[in-house]
Amino acid sequence: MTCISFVWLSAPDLALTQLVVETVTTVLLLLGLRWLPKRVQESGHANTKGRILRWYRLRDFALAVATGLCLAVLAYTVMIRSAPDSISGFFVENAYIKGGGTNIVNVILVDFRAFDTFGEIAVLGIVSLTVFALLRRFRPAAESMPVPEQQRAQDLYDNAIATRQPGDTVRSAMATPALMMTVLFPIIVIAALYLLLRGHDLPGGGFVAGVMMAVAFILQYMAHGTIWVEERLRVLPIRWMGTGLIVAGAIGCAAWLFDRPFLTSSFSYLDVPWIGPVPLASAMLFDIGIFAMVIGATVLMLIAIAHQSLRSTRTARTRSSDEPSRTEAT
Amino acid sequence: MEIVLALGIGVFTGTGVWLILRPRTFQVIIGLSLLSYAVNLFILAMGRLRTNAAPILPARAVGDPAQFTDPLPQALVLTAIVISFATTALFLVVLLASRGLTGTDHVDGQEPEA
Repeated sequence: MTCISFVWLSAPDLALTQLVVETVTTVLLLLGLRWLPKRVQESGHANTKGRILRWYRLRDFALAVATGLCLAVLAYTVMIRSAPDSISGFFVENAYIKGGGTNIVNVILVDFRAFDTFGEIAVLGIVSLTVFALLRRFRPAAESMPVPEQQRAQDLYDNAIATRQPGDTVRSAMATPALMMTVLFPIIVIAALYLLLRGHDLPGGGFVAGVMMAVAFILQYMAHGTIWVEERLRVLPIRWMGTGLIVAGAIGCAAWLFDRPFLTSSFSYLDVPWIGPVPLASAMLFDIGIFAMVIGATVLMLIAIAHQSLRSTRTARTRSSDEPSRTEAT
Repeated sequence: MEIVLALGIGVFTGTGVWLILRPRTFQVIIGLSLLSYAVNLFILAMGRLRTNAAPILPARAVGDPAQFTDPLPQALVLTAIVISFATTALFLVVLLASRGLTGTDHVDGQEPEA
């Protein structure tokens, strides 16, 4: 819904980014949900407890409605007033003359406010490294340790029939989607590169391209499982992140060679055969830095969570194989 | 147009606040992301609403500010979208870790005494 209203309110860049980011967020939340407990029914409340609970609910509801109303009224009253003179006019007038791009939003991001964006990708990198570090020592709660119910049912079925290997049910159910996802991989990569290259002049840019590329990787993981992908693709998220940050920083520093302040950009057009004129601004290289950084960070976060399932089944298996030997010893 | 967006922002905020006040952590995450949608739309609205005026110059020349919607809030929201994804991821992992350590997913760190 947010995405549609961005399209409606003439913000194509935001709509694109929102769409891919929401896809990734959904995958992330689903991966996380695996480690959270099912809803526990709270029954048998004493009468007073129930009343207190209801009172809390009522209070929360009132608070939520009040905040919602306040913000709606505030937004409406601001919107019906005419806009004051802001600095936006400067950006519109100078986007092409000083920034060398016709997509004003992207020019603001990678040129006028590049230092801000540089800080932002650094934040993104720090967050993903923190996620990675937190998950390395992660111990899930005891009751979410065993293999999920559905997987157990599938394994039972597979074990019951002699011709089937464990995991066959999942594999046959996933055959068509998996094939589609594999074929989609190069297509999504091309689409991401296209968005990256045209970002300076048309909707697109480093962020949306980066997240889209991450989606391409994640689809492979969903289709074939972690082990299959890592045998075939060398996904090195930390390498990507490092390269991205260094490229972005180096572009910034390169401005010093020409006696300009940090992150000043220059631009010209390069006529590439087959493709036509490609805008060749140094801001473009900065965008490529953002692109690499965003891929690395997103993929690292998702993979770190996805690896938990692998690790926990491994520990569960070693624990169950440990137990018989321990009983034998005693 | 304005009133629809204002109501949308209001509904997002209301549901976001309601979910943040719930005791279980997953609801709090969803609530936070709903709130971030509301805030993003609010920031966008601060540039006033225009339809069919995407901030993309039609020619390689000086732009006329009256022709386009305000690009500045859009640039700010674009970074906010990516950052809110990072925040959601970090929060999710922190609560997974806290659940592993405390054995409960209540925000107070303990089940309410039944």
